[in-house]
Formats: sequence, C-alpha cells, structure tokens
Amino acid sequence: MLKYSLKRLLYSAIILIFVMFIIYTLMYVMPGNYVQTKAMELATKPGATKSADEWLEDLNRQYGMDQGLIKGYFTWLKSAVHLDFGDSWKWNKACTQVFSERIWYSFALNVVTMFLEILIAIPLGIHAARNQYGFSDYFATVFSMVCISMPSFFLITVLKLVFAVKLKWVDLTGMIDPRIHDSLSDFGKFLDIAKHYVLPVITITVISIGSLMRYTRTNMLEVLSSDYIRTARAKGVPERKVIYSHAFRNTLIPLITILGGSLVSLFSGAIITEQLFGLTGIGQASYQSMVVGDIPFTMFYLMFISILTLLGNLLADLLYAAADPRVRLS
Amino acid sequence: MASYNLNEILKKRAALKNKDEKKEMDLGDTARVKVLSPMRQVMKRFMRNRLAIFGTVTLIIMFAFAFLGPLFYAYGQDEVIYKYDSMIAPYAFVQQRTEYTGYTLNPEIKYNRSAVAKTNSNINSMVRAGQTSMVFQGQDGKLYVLNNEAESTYTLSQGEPAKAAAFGSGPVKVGLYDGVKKTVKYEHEDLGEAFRQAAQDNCKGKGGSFEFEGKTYSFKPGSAKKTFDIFAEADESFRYYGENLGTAFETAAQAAKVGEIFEFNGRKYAVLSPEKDNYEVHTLDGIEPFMVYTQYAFDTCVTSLPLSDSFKLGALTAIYGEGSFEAEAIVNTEAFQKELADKAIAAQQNTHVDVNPVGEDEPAPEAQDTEAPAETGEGEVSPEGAVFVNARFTVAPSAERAGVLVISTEDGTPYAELNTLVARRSNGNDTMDLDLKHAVRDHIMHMLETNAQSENLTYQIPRQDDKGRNVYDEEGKLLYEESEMTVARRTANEFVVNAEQTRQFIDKYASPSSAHVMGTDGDGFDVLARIMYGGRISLMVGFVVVFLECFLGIIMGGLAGFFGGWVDNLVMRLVDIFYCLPFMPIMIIVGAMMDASRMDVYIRLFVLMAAMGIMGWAGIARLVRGQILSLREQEFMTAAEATGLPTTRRIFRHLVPNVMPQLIVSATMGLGSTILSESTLSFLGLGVKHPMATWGSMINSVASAAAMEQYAYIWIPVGLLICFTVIAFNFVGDGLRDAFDPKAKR
Repeated sequence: MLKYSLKRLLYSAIILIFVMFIIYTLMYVMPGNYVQTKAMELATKPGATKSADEWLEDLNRQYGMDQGLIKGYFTWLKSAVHLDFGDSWKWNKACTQVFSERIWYSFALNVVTMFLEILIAIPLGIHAARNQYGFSDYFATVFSMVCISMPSFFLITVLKLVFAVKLKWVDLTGMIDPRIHDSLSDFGKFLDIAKHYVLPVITITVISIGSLMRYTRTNMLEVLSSDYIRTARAKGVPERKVIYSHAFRNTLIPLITILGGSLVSLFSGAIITEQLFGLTGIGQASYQSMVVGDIPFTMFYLMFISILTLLGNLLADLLYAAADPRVRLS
Repeated sequence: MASYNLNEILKKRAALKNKDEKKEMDLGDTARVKVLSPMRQVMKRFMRNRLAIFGTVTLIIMFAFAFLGPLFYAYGQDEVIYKYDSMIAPYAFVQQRTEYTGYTLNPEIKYNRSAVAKTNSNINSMVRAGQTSMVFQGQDGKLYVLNNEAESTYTLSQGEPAKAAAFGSGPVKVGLYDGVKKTVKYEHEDLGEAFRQAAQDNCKGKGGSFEFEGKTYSFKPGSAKKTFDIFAEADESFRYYGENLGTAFETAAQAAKVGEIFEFNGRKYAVLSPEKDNYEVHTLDGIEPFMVYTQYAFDTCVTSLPLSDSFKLGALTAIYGEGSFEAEAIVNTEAFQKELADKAIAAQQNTHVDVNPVGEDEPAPEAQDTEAPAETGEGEVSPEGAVFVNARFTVAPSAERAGVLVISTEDGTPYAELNTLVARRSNGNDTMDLDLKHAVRDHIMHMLETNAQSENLTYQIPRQDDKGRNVYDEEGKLLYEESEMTVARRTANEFVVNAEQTRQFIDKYASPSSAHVMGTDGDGFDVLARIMYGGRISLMVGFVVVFLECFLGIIMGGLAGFFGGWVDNLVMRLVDIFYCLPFMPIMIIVGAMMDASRMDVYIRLFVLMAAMGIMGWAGIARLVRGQILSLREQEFMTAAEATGLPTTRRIFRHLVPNVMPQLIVSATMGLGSTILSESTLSFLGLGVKHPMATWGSMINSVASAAAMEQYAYIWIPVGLLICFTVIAFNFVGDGLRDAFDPKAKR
C-alpha cells in the first residue's frame, strides 16, 4: 500500500510537471510585450509598491519570461519548488497571502454544499433505484438531468431575480451587508455571512446534485440485481433490512470512493458562482486574476488546482482499496 | 410505455397464417423467428424510451428553429431596427458670435501662421484695452497691423519693418559674440576689430562685462551654446535710423503706447518694444491688408442660396469701405428656390438619425458655428438652374433691426443679411427661412432685454409624416404646418430652438410587438432573430468542438489501443496530462488573451472552438483505447488476423464500427456539455463576441442587476432554450446508451 502510494505520488508529480509546462507555455505566448506594458501599468497603479523595473525584475527572476521557453520554465519550477510564487499583479501582495486570506471562504461554501448534496442525492438515488421504472424513478431521472444541464449562470440569475430583486430577502452580491455588518455581534456577523451564503449554496448544490444521484441510482440498481440480494430475499430477510443492511452497504463502496476523491476539491473554489455572487473566495480571486492576465496568481492557482485533481484521483484509488477488501492495488 | 411481447405477436401471426393455409409449422422453421437487423433493434429500443423521444423531438424543433428559422424571419442578427417618434427636439441652434472668422483678401501675401492664429485673442485684448489698432512684429520679422475698420470687422495688414528711431532706458543689444569662432555679429553698426578683440579678451565662460571706448558692455548667454549677447549700457538718447525728425516727434513717440499707431506730419508710426524698456519706432508705409476678420455671418434672403467668395469679400470690404461692391452671385433666385424645395430641405431633414433620444447628446452648436460661414450648408446644394452673374450690391445697416447689415441689389431688393446672431438648423445646415431667423432673433433680443430664459413662438415649418419625411401636395409643393417652438437659453450666448419633430431613432429595448415578437435589445437588434442566430452558433460550436474532440480522440486512442506498447504508454501519459488540465480556468485565460490581443470576432470563434476541442479529446481517447484493447483480444479479431486482412481494414472495418456505439453516446453527451461551456464563457464575455449573437452573451446583456427584472422576457426564454437543448442532448445520449447496450451499467 505504502509502496503503491509512493509510486503514484511520484507519478503524479511527473504529470504535474508536464501540466504546468503546458500552462507555462500558455502564459509565455501572451500577446507580444504584454509583460512590459503590464509592469508599467502596475507601477503607475495607485498604491503601487514597486517600480516597473522592479516588477519586471521580480517577474523575470521567478518566471524567467525573458529567457527561452524551456529555460524559463525551469526558472519558474525552481522558485515554485521553493514555494516562492511572487506577488500577484491584481492583488498587489504575495500570492500565498491572497490564498490564505480567501481559501476558507471557498472551503466553507464547498463543505456546506457537499453536506447538502450527500443528504439529498443519496436518499433520492436509492429511492429511485428501489422503484425502477416507477414514477419516482422517472422524476429522479428527469430532475437529475435538469440539474446536470442547468447553466450555473442562468440558475444564479433566476435565483437573484426571485430572492434578491422580487422578494428582497437577500442582497444581489457580496459577502456581508455593509450597512449593518460592523455594528453586529460576532454571532450576528456569522449569521450575516451565512445569509449571504444561502443562494451560492443552493446554486452549487443544484448543479452538482444530479451526477451524484445518478451514480447512486446506477450503483444501487447493480447491487439490487446481484445474487446475494436475491438470496437474502429468498431466505425471507425483511425488505428494509435487505435494502439498508445488505444493499446500501455495498452501494457505499463506490460512493465513498468518489466522495473521498472529491474531498480535496473542497478547496478548489467555485469560479463562476463566487464571481457572480461576489463571494471573496479563491474562485473569485482566480477569476479576476485570470481576466486581467495576472500571470503570478494564475500560475499559482492553476498549479493548486492541478495538485488537487491529482491528489483527488490518488485518494479515490486508495479509498477504493480501503473500502473494498476485494480490490487489490498493484 | 408501450410493451408488446414478440412471442404473442408471432403466435397471432402464425395463427392467421394457419387459418389461411392450414399448414403445420415446424419448430425449426426459420419463419417462426423474426430477426431484426442490429440497427433496427437499436432503433426499436430507442423508440421505446420516452425521455429519448422527448429529447429527439426537442432537438429537431431546436434545429429547425435555429437553422431554418432565420431563412423565414425578416431580420438579421446584426440588423439595427429604427423607429420614428415625435418628440420635442432641437430644431435650430442660435449663437451670438464671439469669435472672428478670417477671409483672405490678398492670397499672394505670405504671412506667418502664428501671427494670424493669435488674431482672436489679439482682438479681445484690443477690445479690453479700448484700442482701435494694434501693431506687432511676427516671428517672421514683419510688421502686422490689426485695425478695427467697422463694428465687428477688423483687417489684418502686413508690411516690412522700417525702423525710424529707437529710445529707452534698458540696455541695448549690440551684437552676438560667438565663443567658438571668436566673431561678433552686429545688430546695427560694425564697431570694428578692436571691439571684437576686447570682447574676446573679456568673455569668460559665463558672462561678465568689459569697457570699450568709455562704454560698459556686458555678456549674457545667447540662444545657442557658447554664444553671448553683448549689451551696451543704457543709452538714454533718442536715436534715429534715418532722418532726424526733431523733438516734437520724440515727445509724440514717447507718449504713444506700445503697439499703438500715432500720426506725425501726416505719416503713421507705431512704437514697438522688442526688449524691456527699449522702444523702436517704425514707419507704417507700405502696409497692406491681407485678411479681413468679422463676426458677421451671411444669411441669404432665399434659403440656402450659395454665395461666391467674391460676394463675401466684397460685402465685407464694403462694410468699412464705400458701401457698395460688385460680385458674382445668383440672381435668378426663383429657379433656385424651386430646386431647393425639391431637394435640399427634404434631403437634409430625412437623413437625420438621432441615436440618443434623451437629448443629452445633441450635436454641439459650437461644432457648426465656429466654422467659416463659407462651409455651413450652402455648399451642399448644387442647383442646376442657378447661374452666377456679375451684379452690383450695396451694404447698409438694417432699418428694422439693430446690429444687422442688409445687402441689397441695385434695385433695392434685399439679397442677404449680415449679422452676428447666427441661426442654423440642428444638423448644422443653413436651411432655415430668413423670416424664421428674424422671428427667432427678435425673440432672443427680447429675451436678452427682459432676461427671460425661454419664449414661445409659432411658425410654419415643413410638415412631416410618421416616417419623418416631408409631405408634399399633388403639385410637389412642400406642405407646411404651424408648429409651436420654444426658444431657450443654453449659455450666455447660445440659444436653442425646440420644436416637435419626427425623428428616426434606433429602437432600443422595445417591448414585444407584432413586428418584433420578442422586442429589441440594447443595440436595436431584433431579439427573436438573435435567439435564432445564437442557437445556430451554439449548436455549430457544439458540433465543431465535438467533431474535433472525436477526431483527435479516435486517432490518439486508436493508436494507443491498436499498437499498445510504448505508443500506448506515451498517449496515455498525454491523456493523463490533459485530464489534469482544468478546463474552465484555461478557457477563461484563453478568452482573456484573445481580449487582450483584440482578435477579430470570427477568428476568435475558431480559436475558441479549437481550444475547446484540444482541451476535450482526452476523454474520447481513453474510451476508444479501452474499447479497442478489449475488442482486440476477441475471437473475431483473431479470425480477421488469421484471414490475412490488412491492418487498415482490420482497424476501420472491424474495430471502429464496434467502438462506434460508445463513441456516439459519448459525443451526444459531449454536445450538451460543450454548449453549456460555450454559453458560460459567452456569458462571462470571454467567448463569442458582439455583434455575433449567442445565447450566453444575450443573457449577459440584459441580466445586470438593474435590467434583470425589466427584461426577464428576454433572458428567461433564452436560458430555458440553453437548458432544453442540453437536456435534450443528454436524454438522447442516455437513450442511445440504453438502446445500444441494454444490459450495460447505466
């Protein structure tokens, strides 16, 4: 197991190096003298801490943009290994600082969403599987399909129209109510933020619920058609026990696998939802950085996301082996 | 769900046959079992799936809507819709001229541009100082004289400077010493080699002074490097550069102000001060006027009558001259008037498109009125019946109106007017009746007297129909109607005449109507047309991207699966890498890069599709490889190899068709997700750009916090269209999967 994990980690690291090379190439081919103009712009920005030459120097030191593609990439790799990601152009401070300021907002959003998702999708999926071809199965199928097919921006606009414009229950955007937030107690502040999290949580839950429900239903159907379930029914085990004791436990194996794999993605942030709702999480920071061509922060964020993806895959494989004793890692 | 049992039907059919033929059927009879071809079996299973049928029907409707709809719909995706509306709009602008416009009297005189460019500010300073004339030396060294000839009329003359005398208490410049060549360049008289030697001995880098023949001279750094101006100490005496005119002249010269003209013995002189406290007296003989400046603008009695240059110059010189002049002009004005009624007014009123109906962006009157009158309006009409002939005119102040000069023909009929209160149509053209101008001008005069902000008047202006065109009667004459007008003050010397007029607007944000079922958007485009074209682009992007994905995926996956070994290893590592690349962030970066390089919208579309295809092939490759790996080991492939089929035939005849089912399912699902990604990118403004329509950007354009509620009838249907298309693709994909392989895990 340990040997397998180490092997996979090494393999992931190699993949990561190549992934980052592609991303670096993308940054490298930014339209001509983009970096110079950007540095000039940064130096003239109000509150600028560095002159254009200093910005350029920093950039070349860390990102090697003035060298060839390969040499430059290794320059970047060297500073990245030393965890030196430089200063973000958009936020005018160290990338890691922006990251640590914002990551927990995204994490909170994703944790709540995942919790809700599990609570809703798994029971619905099981229910649908038990009544295959029944009404609830049809309903679940159509519902999950609608959720999968829903463009997030459209759902967000509809939610905003209903709850923010028509009913005026929540604000259109933002994390806090700027009029009253400062006057609230600590618990009041928490509630204020929680109120602003309601619509984003609904959005992400609706969008991600569909695939988990379909997955649960498929797995449950497979388990229900297996021989040991028929045996259990044949020997007169009560249906409740058949479902929850025999079938559900076996359905859990693949579920644990994919949910465990998505644990790391709790940190990845929701780019569009955070941007449209004005949540100051990592997703919004990355979106705004990417749109203005903030190379340091974009590189940092993409590296972060890639690491999360690779770790997620690794974790899913390991959990699969851990949850199902029949699976052997090689 | 319609269900029928194959056996039941076969039994019935057999029973029917038996009734007819009474023939016993054998158990092994091939007619007993009806065998469907694999394709028909798939079809049958697919047709049983209600959701898949729903998806198929939705897609057919969507395709018809997006690809056939535009063929039958009247409007294009970027066709601006106009409307006509009656509104109170500026009919004319009136400006009290403060600027002076120059007309060249003598084009042969070459003048210094900066000397002429300063004329308006020079006139202003003359008015402030109460001077009637001003003399100054231009950068070309020539003398310029600006003279007030009559009210609102000035002439600018030019002549060679002729210095008569100099006086003053300041140091006098003697010459320029060149430190490199060690020479002296004298201003007036040569002081000889001894002076040069003295200057050379005493020049010490930065300045200094020296004595020469009892006078003190000092150095000052000159304009060029290592050059020094040599100044003699103040010389109080009155120096003549010609005839000595005596003490009376000296008193007169010292009494005169700088830049002013004084007369002495019948000759004109002017005092200039080239340096502080030093004065020069110049004779003003040989000065010739070459420009005439005036605040007056020409208003012809016949509307829009073109005036020749000679007419204008003649009239202007006649103001301060003898009062009459001879010039080329159109005298047979009836023919001209007819012409105008047909062409000019109609043309000028109808070509007016007001982009912003709120009235904030009216054309600024400055833009029209500061132009020389020669350019305002008249030049646009080229009457055929009009002939310029020589005629004689007189200029005299108007009897009725103050500050207005009337130009009349020899028989006394007024031909044109000169005045400083210029009235022009709101589009800058001079197409107003003189009577209307008079009426407006009288009101403005009254307003100035009473200090009122606005006044009303009624006047006949050409009648307009509901399209803003002029209305003619049967004989082709313009019809007029009484119109309420308001003269209002804009600034101290600007007035606007407002009247109700029919104007053409871009029909923005129109509500749904029979002509535009979904109304129009913020650019005046028809929304329904844009929804159709947007669907076209969304579907097209989906198909192109999925085709690209499949193309790359089949080649890479096929290579990996068929050849195995190191090829497989290499391709699969590439697939791993592309699997790991985050799709949305990369697309956002690509979109932002295309924004930064200001890419053409059509090229942009192709780059976008290519980028999406390249980002998405890994999944297809993995699927194809997996399928081929498992198929390769099956007996039919061994058989194919054993029969000695060539590799290409084995791949394309035996492997690829077996991969097809999974590929089709995967591609159908991929279509949905591609459309979703494209619309998200377009919504963020990073995908397909204006003026190309796409569903995502259409939602974006009306879904701002302010407009979201008001234009819900636009963005909600569009959003639902995206939803339905994606759902339909997913249902069809699902249905196909079930149909291809009913036992497979869903």
